[in-house]
Amino acid sequence: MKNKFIKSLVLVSSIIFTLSSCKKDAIDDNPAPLFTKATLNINVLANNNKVIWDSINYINASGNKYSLRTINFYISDIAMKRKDGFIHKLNKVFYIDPAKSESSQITIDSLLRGDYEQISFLVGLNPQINIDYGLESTVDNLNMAWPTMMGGGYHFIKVEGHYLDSAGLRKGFAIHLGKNENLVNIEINKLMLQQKSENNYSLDFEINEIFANPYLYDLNIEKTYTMSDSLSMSKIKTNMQDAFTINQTN
Amino acid sequence: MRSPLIKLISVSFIFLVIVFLGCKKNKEEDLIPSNPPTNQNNELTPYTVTYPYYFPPLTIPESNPLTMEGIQLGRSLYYDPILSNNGQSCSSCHNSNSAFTTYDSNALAHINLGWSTYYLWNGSISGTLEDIMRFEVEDFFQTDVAKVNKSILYRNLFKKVYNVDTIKSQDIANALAQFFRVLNSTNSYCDQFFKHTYNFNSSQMNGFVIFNSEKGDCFHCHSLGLFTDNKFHNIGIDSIFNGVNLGRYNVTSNPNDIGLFKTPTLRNIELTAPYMHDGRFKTLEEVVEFYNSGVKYSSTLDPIMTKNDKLTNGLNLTTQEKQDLVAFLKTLTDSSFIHNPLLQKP
Repeated sequence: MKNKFIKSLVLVSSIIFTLSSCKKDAIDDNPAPLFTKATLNINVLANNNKVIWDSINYINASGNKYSLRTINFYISDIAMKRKDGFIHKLNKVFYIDPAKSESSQITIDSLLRGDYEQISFLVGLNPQINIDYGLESTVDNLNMAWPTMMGGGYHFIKVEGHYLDSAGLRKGFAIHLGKNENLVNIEINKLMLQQKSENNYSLDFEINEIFANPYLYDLNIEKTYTMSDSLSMSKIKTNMQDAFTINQTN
Repeated sequence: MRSPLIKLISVSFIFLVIVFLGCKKNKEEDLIPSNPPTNQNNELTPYTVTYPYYFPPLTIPESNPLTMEGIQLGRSLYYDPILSNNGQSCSSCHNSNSAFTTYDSNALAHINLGWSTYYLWNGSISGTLEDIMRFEVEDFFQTDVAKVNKSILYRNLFKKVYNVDTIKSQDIANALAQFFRVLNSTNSYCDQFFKHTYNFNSSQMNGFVIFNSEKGDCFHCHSLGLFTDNKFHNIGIDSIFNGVNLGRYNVTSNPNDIGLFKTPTLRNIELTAPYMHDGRFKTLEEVVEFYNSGVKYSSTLDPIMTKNDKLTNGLNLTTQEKQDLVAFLKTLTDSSFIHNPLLQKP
């Protein structure tokens, strides 16, 4: 009788132990996760279409026909604000080269579930890291360096291409922004429902916006090379404020 | 004789241990490196490449880790005409005294290629050093691998380094790649200037400023550090293109790539004349004058090259400024690289 009781006790203990030791796996099936993931797919657009490189297909607000050869920029200090005021900050720098698909996606892990109403980020780098060799010396970062004698740090953005001048001659332009005073602070107010474990967004950057609103930037009149021209950089910086939009895709 | 109770407890204990191990397995798997090192031969001496903080990290494939023995094997092959069928070796066109190219040849210098992903002037080969070396072995030299296998010396060396009984072309490529990863120039006068152990004279300093400002605007393609952006550009040396002058177009067939060539490093540029993909400029002075006043228009001309009316007015450098720019370019000469005994013919 005693043996039977002990037998049963050992068996029940084994089953309880077995179940409790493997219980952890079951958490993954929770339909309402505490933490979620947001994936921002960055699309660089011109005339509302995905960029086709080196094709003089695009027309800006001044009527300039232009093409694009190079677009490189940094996105950093991303912050997402929830309706209740909670702010998730991401202390990371992302180098974006739309010609390389692998660099056109930003993933934000461990984002508390909830409804977010604003996303903000910098196009460029905050002054603490916008110094010579403030970033890891990758080939991309070295190519983005802003020479020390011109202020140091990094290019925040490079947009290069060709345009047809008033005589129809194909000329080059290089819109470069750098220096702390030209850091672009983007704020987008948009409802983002972070309710599922994985949520995707399309973060669109419309290049035409850098040539318009509030400043009409006519390539036949304005500087086509902005790097050493504070006024031109300031206009581009201001124009860029509303160049980004975000839309939830799932 | 054991009692049924002890039996039961023993069986239950074993069951629990099995369950415990079964559940623990996942955690143990997490500890296993995703790419375990392949070279487990303790007889080989690992080698670590050092380079300045302003260089990007050097990528070394886990399948071909650097070892002293592997580098030495690559070095032997680099200088050995056994690779070719006409008595030529890599060193025939890439002489250390000319910064691993040949005077009066437009062959690209073998400098810091471990940081490249495209090779040759038009970038026809891309990937790792192992990839370009395989091209050199199989296509450029058309190496008779059987001949290498007949060499007892090489058979022993390859056995030691790669643990192979029969040498294949990829083994030769891998050994060469190891040697190329140490063909690094990192100690020029300019590097010493960055490290505050060398002072530029006024001409060199003025040239440095021209190089790194909108005045000369060299830095956009010849980024400090590697002195190349590893990209392709049409810098305006021609306005009409055919044959080899079509450049990158010959690889991609994309009309937007007509006249584009890989940006060469400027390190040791003083020693690597003549210049450009076809060696058309014999001196650095000619090169600087080209950028100053000789850029030609074409539809694929790089946007940077039309900057500030470069086409119509040029850079407007004075004679002194041109001399200063050349003086700076010569600070990129690295005598410790070209005379490094470990890189010379064994």
